[in-house]
Amino acid sequence: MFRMPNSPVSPTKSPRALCAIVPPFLLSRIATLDDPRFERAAHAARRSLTDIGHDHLDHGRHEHTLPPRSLRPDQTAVARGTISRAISDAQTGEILPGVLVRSEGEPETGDVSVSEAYDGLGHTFALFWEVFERDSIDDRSSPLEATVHFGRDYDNAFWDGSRMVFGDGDGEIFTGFTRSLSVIGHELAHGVTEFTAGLVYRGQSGALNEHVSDVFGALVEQYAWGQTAGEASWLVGEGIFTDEVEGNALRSLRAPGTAYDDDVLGKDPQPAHWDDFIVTQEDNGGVHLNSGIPNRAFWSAADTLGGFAWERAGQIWFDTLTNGSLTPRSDFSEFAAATIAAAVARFGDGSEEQRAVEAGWALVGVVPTTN
Amino acid sequence: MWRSGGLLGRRVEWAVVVDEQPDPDQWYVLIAEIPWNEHPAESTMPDRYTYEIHCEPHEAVVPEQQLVGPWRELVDRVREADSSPRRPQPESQPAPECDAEASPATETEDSSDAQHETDPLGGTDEPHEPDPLGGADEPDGER
Repeated sequence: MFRMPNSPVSPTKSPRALCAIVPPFLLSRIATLDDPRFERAAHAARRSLTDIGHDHLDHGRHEHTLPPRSLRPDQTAVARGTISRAISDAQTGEILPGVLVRSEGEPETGDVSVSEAYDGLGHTFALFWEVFERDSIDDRSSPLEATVHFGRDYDNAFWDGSRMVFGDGDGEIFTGFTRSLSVIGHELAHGVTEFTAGLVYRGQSGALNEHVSDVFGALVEQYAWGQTAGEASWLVGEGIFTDEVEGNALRSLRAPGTAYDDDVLGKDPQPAHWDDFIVTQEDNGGVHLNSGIPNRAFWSAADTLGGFAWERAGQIWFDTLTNGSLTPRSDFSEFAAATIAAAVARFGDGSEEQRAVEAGWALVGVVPTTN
Repeated sequence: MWRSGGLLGRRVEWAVVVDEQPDPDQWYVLIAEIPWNEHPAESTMPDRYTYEIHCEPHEAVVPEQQLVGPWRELVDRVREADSSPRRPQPESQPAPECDAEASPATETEDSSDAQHETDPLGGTDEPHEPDPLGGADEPDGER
C-alpha cells in the first residue's frame, strides 16, 4: 500500500496544495539516503513525509505497513489514493497472469524484475494520484497488476487490457523491459486511456493513444526523479537496449527520429512533423511511428513553459484525456484543439499556457480543428 | 512472414522456402491445417505484435495473442527455420513459399542473418499505401 487507510489524503484536497517547500519527490529521495553525512536530512525528510501523508514514498526500500489486499477485511472501505499492487511471474511461459509472487506490502523477493515492476507501478500511481488526483487507472482504486518474465527471450512489453506484461528481452537487442520506468508508466497509461478517452488503437487515434502513453511514461520518470523539463531526457525506454545497440532509447519526445540508429535496428523511423506522416497498414496504421508528431508538440509546450512538466503541460494533457472532449476516433487536429481548449479552461484565455500549447502544435504542422 | 507493432513498432521479417526444408511434407501438412479463411479479429492490445503471413496463395493477419494451434506452430517453425545456418541459396526458389513480401532471392542472400529489419513502409521506393481501415489516419487538408 502506498497510503495508510486511516490516514488518507482527502480526495477533495490536492496534495499539491500542501504547504511543503520541498516537493514530495525530493523529500522521498532525501529520506532514502543511506549516507551517514545526510542522516539528519534523511530523518527530517522522513518525518516531513509522514506529516504530509507521503510516507509511502520510500521507493520500495522499506517494508510497507499495510496488509496485502487479500487480507483486507472490507475491500469497499479502502480509502481513495490507496495503492494495491500485485506482481506475477509467468516463468518464461505465456500464460497470464502467472504465479503471484509479490502483493502489496510484501517484502522484496530477490527478483530484480519483480522489484522493478513493483516500484515502477508505485511511481506511476504516485504521479497520477498526487499530481492529477486520479486514483489508479480507473479512478476507482483498481489494483495495479503486472506480470514479469513473460515468454522466452520475449522482446516486448504490452498492456493486455487488465495488466502490464513485461518480457525479459532477447539479450541481443533488448534487456528486460522493467528496467525502464518510462516503459512501466507507458504501459499503465494505456490503461488510463482505456478507461477515459478510449482512443481506438489504429491510425491517428491509435497514434494518439501511443502518444498519451509516451507523455505520461516520460512524466512518471520526471516526477520520480524530480526533473524539470530542461533537465529531463525526454526519452522513453532509456536503458532497455543492450550495449550492442547504437541507440539511447525507444523514442525521443524532444527529437523524434533520433532515438537510435543501429545496423540491426535501423534508424528510428518516427516523424517529427505532419508533413512526414507515415501512411502504412503495419503497426496498426503506424501507431508507434506517427506518435512522434504529437510527442514533439507536447515536448515543445513543456519546454516553453519550463519548470516541472507535469504541473502545466502535463496537467493540460491529463485534462484533455479525461474531460470528455475526445472521442475514440479523435484525430490529431481534434486532439490539438482539445488541448488548447483544456489550456484555456484551466489557465485562462490568452494565458502563457495556451500560447505554449498552440505553438507546440504549430511547430509540428498540426492545425487544430473541431468537428 | 513479417511482424510489426510491439513497443518499438519495428518490422521484422522471416522467410522460408518450404521445399528446401529437411521435412517439407510436414510443412505441407501444417499449412493444410491452417484455417486460412477464418480471419482472426484485429488486435486491440496496445503494444502487442501483429503477424502478417503470406503463404501462396494464402494471406492472413494474426494478432500475436491469437497465435494458437497451427497458427502458433507455423510461426514458431518459420522463425526457427529462418534462423538456421543451413538456409538455401537464393537461386533455388521452389513454390510454395511461406515468406515475406520482399524477394526470396534477396531474403536468402545472407545465410547468417535470421531476422531482417525493413522499412516500416514496406520499402523506401514504394509509394505509401493508404489505409482503408483507418480513414482518419491520412493527412488531409483539414488537419
